[in-house]
Amino acid sequence: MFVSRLGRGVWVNRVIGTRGVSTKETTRKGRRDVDASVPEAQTTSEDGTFEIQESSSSPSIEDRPLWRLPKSPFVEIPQAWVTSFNSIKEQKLGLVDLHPDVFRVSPRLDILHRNITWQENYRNLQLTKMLSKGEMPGGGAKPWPQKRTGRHHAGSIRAPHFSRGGFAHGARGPRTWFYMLPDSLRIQGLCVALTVKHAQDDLQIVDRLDELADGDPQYLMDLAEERNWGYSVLFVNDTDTITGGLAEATSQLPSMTVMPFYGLNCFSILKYDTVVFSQKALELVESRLLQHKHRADTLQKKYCYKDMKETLLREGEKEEHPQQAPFV
Amino acid sequence: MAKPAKAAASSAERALRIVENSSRVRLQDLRDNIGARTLGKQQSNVHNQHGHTIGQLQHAAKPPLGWIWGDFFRPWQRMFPGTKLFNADINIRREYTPLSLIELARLIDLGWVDQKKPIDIVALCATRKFKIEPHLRQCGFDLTPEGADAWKYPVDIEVQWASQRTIAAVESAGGRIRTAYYDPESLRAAIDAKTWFQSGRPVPRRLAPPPSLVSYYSDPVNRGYLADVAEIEHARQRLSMTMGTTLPETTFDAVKHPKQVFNGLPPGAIVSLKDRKVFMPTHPDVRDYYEEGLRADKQYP
Repeated sequence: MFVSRLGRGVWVNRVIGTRGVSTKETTRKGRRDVDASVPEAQTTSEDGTFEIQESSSSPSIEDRPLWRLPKSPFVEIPQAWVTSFNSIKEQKLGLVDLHPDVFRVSPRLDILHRNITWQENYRNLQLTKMLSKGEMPGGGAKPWPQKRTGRHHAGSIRAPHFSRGGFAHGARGPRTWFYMLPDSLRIQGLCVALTVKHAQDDLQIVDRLDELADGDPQYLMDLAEERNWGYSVLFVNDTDTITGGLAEATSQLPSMTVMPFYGLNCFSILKYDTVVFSQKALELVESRLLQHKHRADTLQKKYCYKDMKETLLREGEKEEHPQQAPFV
Repeated sequence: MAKPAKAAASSAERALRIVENSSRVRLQDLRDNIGARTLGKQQSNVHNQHGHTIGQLQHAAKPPLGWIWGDFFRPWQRMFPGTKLFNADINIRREYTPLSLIELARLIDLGWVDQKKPIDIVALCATRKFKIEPHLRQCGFDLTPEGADAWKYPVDIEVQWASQRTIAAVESAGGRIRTAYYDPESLRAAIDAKTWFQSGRPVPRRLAPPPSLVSYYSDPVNRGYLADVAEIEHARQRLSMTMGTTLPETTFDAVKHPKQVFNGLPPGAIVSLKDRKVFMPTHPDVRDYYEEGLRADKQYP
């Protein structure tokens, strides 16, 4: 159970503590030094394990201002490397600050559990309907006289103790287990999932996902092998239509999936070994989550079917698939 | 190498250090907290006596509340109902959401309300902290004096009801307070301006208070919005003398017109949020409708 994970380069994503001003200053300076050394082709640390290269096509990774930082003196600002995606060998393009309210929250596994339970249960639908005695055909007449036959008293051949009789206390579908988890728990669940992934070094950030040259699944497998991403990988992109070969490559790999940022959910984050964000997707996810955390509206919103009926019934309106019926 | 001194860390950080050093958290590792989902001891539905029984007399039917003599259907409150019926006006009674000064101070401190701008029902409802339902005859806010001792913001505030202590607290801090009436239609626009504008309806004209409230809103003692300005100033001086407070000199913008719902938006305007434009009516009949004098709200007395 407790496998040492030090071999997987945990130190790379370690939160750089900002306890006190002086530490923060040195950290900042340290990171600025890294940035300053970016134009030089390669910088090798004392460990000799990573190098920073400036790629001309990569987006510039500037110092990102974090919105509404918590004022606690204990807050630590998590950081992560942005790496390249266009080569198998890992190239570090820069270090980004992540918001502690999203990527460094308390690891509430119970809230994660509630999210997962909700995701697994709310979509269940029982369509079985076991017919009761009254709903079975026939059975109106008394099968045999009440007395003097030597058989048991019976009023109907559909009574529950008859074979081919109706069911007493059977499953009475259609039945759903649908409920909505409160917004606060869903938001917190996403933050916890991202925090856990980041703390365990399973959250990777690449500059962009949509510029993969060709849809070769072997390339992705080699990449994951080289960077120690584990068996299954979830790619999260900022757009829902992705250019380049990533969609084609992942469609041939059962263990790798691409997903737009708005489809991110606790179950998928936990299901895959590693979650790979494009840098834009990460910023979008962070800003959306923060926006909801600080929204003026209540986080305990009531969800009534009445309010969403219009939307739900019009859901499959624009789905035009040649083979599949619209999913409503 | 000597270990660095262990710095103080939050409980979240200490928990995260455990997560960092453990194996990958997987779907099957997640558990709810111990005891989070345990139910109480199930009692049988029929005799739910929580493990103890009581005798026959205690189970027996008791006389209803207020029974003094005679049959059970004539308790005291029905035999002697008094001069007026209890809750007789339940269907026309007005409700005001209580908002204390200390709550308002908290809203200002946390940045939900801007103290530099006029605070009215639009600004208060834009915080999304309150729920006002005009169809339940809820008419707005009642500013209560809790926290009046610590009140220090010189705000320009307009509420629907205010007590003398509240008025004194706001004015002694250098603020201005007015009580104003909003009819249900205007209230509906004011509490959710965005939805109102998006629905394409024009900004309604505010109606004058109904007959029973005219005296309240034209009373300078209550700082009613229909009262004379000079009389309000006189009442202000009187209240400060009564309460023994001083009145700092502060200047404010002109008050909202009695027919206006939103500051800076005349009645009859259609607001396009998409184009960021305000359209005014051009048809003379429509313009007359919005420009005529105050009309009273006659829905409830």
